[in-house]
Amino acid sequence: MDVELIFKIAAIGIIVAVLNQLLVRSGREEQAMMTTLAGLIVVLMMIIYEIKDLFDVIKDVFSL
Amino acid sequence: MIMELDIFTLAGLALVGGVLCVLLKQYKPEYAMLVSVCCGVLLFGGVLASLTPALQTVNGLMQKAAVGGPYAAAIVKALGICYVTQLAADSCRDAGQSAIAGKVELCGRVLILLLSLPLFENLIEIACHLMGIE
Repeated sequence: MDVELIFKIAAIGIIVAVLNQLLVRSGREEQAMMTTLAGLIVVLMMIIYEIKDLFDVIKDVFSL
Repeated sequence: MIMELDIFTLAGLALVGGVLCVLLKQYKPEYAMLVSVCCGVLLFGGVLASLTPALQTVNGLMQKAAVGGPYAAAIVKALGICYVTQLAADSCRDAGQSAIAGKVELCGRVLILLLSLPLFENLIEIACHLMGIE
């Protein structure tokens, strides 16, 4: 079981939060928003495979 | 993904996920939701593989009681729908979207109703047959 995935997501969240603060402070709101969006998409792409795995296992176990 | 799992691993995973969620919620609530979804998926996926032997045992018991076939399969299917619905609804509710969570639960109920309606029809037919009504 890859517990590292949770740490990875949390780390990305913290990094994006820091970048967001920096960019907002230096007056680049658009880039800050783009950073947030990019981080969100990256994390979503990471999670979506796990969800697919889970749903496959559920389909298998419960013969849905 | 699957290894030997004990309750300490799972509880530790849940605690770590909870702490990270609380930490991230102050800065980026959307990441907190993603961490909680990931945590739930990992926990559930980890424990699900151990559920297969249990389900096989239940299936075997039902075969012994001569109520196997479509009935046992329907129960297991309904259980699966319940788990998936619960996962999605809880995640939505944690993110503050209780309206979407309610809709997911409604969808799950409708699907289980559709699943069990043929069996219910069978039951009613048998009852009518017993009472002599056609």
